[in-house]
Amino acid sequence: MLDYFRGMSAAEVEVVAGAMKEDAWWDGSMVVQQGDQKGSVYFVLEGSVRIERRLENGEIVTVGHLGPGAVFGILGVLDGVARAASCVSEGTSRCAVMNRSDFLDLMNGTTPLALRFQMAVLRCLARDIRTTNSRLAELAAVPPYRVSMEDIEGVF
Amino acid sequence: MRIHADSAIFSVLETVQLFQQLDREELMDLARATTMSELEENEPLFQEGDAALDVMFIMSGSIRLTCDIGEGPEIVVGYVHSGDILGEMAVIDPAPRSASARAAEASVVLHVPAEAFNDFLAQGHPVARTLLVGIRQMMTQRIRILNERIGALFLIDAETADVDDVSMGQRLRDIWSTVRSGG
Repeated sequence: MLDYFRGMSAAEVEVVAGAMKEDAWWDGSMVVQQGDQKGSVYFVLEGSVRIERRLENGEIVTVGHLGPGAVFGILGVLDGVARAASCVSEGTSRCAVMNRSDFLDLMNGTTPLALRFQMAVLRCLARDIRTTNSRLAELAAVPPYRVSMEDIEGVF
Repeated sequence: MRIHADSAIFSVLETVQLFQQLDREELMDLARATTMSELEENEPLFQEGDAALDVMFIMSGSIRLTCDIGEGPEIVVGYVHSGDILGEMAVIDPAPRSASARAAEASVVLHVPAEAFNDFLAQGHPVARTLLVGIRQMMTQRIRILNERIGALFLIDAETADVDDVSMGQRLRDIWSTVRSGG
């Protein structure tokens, strides 16, 4: 988690941490639900969550797992669009939670902290893009797609 | 052709929606820190593997992104258009360019050097905030598209085992182009 906040002073990290509340989830309980529109940003402290996506045909597929240090929920908070997936606690998990208005206040301010926080947010988004990219590479390699090697080399 | 004249750049920046919130002086600071390229059709903008030293704003025209796969012609992996941002990873998490870019038609591109961006950031300059907002919007849009497409891939997986190689290759290329534009 600290990597996202590189460039921030200890005092600035304190301000960010001060806007978070810690919460815990039991095995199988839903941290965020696909389709929800109001939401918070979650920083995984302990344990892990499973990312599940409900398809149009009703089937639920696991699209990833997030462990300590991971951040999720940023996209929904940024653009207010419904959650694209659900996150379910695997075993007991603990997350630091920042609600939407605190998150937006921190990011949209005119202070140097706001700029550094904004950079931290962009690093998280960059990580999301990379993770999705490698997930797609894995998907492309499984049999139903029968993608030729040339395709895979060309694509990834 | 590279344009360094601040006044010429200023007059183009004035017309950009994203920069409307900057006042005259702030906009002039941005104009002084940037250069602009006027590209003819097919003129190269950067090559795959080049060091990523700037983030680019497409002012007009469109840019074609291609990848060299070693044999055969280069593969077109996507296009970016007027109003789009290209190569923003240069300032977020620098790595060499992951694709080559050429003008698909006559185009004008604004170059913001990573160094200038970092200076604006260090100063807490309003320009830094504005650029970050633009980059954030571009990235969230890309992730949204990626999420939709990854969902579509799973759906294909669930519904059919009879997937045509060519169309899947194209689908993956479509998905990948949204990833690559940032690099």
